[in-house]
Amino acid sequence: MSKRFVPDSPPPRALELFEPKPNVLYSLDATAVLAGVSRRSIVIYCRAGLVRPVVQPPYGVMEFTEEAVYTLRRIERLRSVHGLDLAWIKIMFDLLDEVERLRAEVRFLRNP
Amino acid sequence: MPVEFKDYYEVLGVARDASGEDIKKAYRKLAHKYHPDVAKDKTTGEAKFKEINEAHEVLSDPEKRQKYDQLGADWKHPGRQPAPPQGGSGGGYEDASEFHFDGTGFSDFFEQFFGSRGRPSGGFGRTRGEGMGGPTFTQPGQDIEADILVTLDEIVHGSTRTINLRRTDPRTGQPITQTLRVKIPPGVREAQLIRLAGKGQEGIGGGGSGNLYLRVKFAQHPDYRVRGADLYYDLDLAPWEAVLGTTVDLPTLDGKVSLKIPAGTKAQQQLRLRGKGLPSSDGTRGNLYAVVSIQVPAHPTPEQKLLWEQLATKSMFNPRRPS
Repeated sequence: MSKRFVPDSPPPRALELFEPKPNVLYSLDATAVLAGVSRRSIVIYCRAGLVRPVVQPPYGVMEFTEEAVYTLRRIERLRSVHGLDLAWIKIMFDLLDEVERLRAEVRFLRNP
Repeated sequence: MPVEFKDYYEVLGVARDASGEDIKKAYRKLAHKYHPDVAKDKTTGEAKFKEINEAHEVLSDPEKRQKYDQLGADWKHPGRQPAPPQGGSGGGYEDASEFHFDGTGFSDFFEQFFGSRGRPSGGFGRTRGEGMGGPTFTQPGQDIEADILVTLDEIVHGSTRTINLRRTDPRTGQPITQTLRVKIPPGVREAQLIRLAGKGQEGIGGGGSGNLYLRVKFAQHPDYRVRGADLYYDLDLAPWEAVLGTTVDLPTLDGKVSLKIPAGTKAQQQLRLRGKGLPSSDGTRGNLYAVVSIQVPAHPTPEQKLLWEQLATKSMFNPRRPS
């Protein structure tokens, strides 16, 4: 039996399913790949206090959360595209964290 | 993309000069009817609840409400529509309007004016690559961050959400819609990131696409407040119930439980129900705290008034004297 060729019909596509893994931790190498940042830069950002590994020497090998990977991507963008230096980024992140924390507190106290 | 103006006052059914207390009351009343965790009719309830939640989110916050009121006034003059606020990280974000979401629980209107996110954020921007051209130039795409509204029921049981991502194809200029399914794992935390790899902006010259990050936002529940994995329930008691002690029915996520109120319970006292809070991803559960709030009858009858007066003369209690 021959199937008729229909050129215009789009190929059937299954919906892509994204399933986040809970509590996943990435090694330094994996983090470097996911964030698109060199391992050396990651260590520098850690020293500058911009991002923190979950564990670090001497207690174990460096491991990072999903949030840390995202932060690294943001740092890299702020540095390379907007030309901010690490000190500025640190101030910005600290302020954003503080705002977020206060917002959450206000929301909790005000509602419902 | 045109965005429809939403009348949040109409959604909550309150007057434009309604007080914060009125808005809170209207919200709780409607939320009890439509909240997906409590509603009887789930299908129509969900869409309605999202509207109510948004309206409350904006009107319960004096700052956002003021902004909204100004916006409402401006909206009537189509000639001078206010520019949507841009992200805090400076200009160069025209591409943000390229992305629209369906199914995250927030409307386009809310995202545009009150959403904190839904804009390009991390990763590598394409701004740097513009004009540099060249056949060997590659540039990875930018990350996009958006909020996703999650109800308490989803936190407990997890769910799978369908999200429509509408964007403009940079090559053809045609709008394209991608449908993605995202699993919300049980025990998800507030502000947790869900990474949808490769669903951000496309890269240039074969540079990979950026990621789409969904940031979890808990939907306001009509009964509970959330702090970490703990839930707080405001428990209203009559003065005599607090003094003499009683047993009350308390709604929890696992159904009703009876809670014994010990005699001499004070206002603001927190009664802990261990393990009745939200699950965390490590399998444990937070606690539920019933926060005591003592209510007084607004209009006591003359007879009741007499009884209170008797109590007042008999009682040696003076709350303002240090004991």
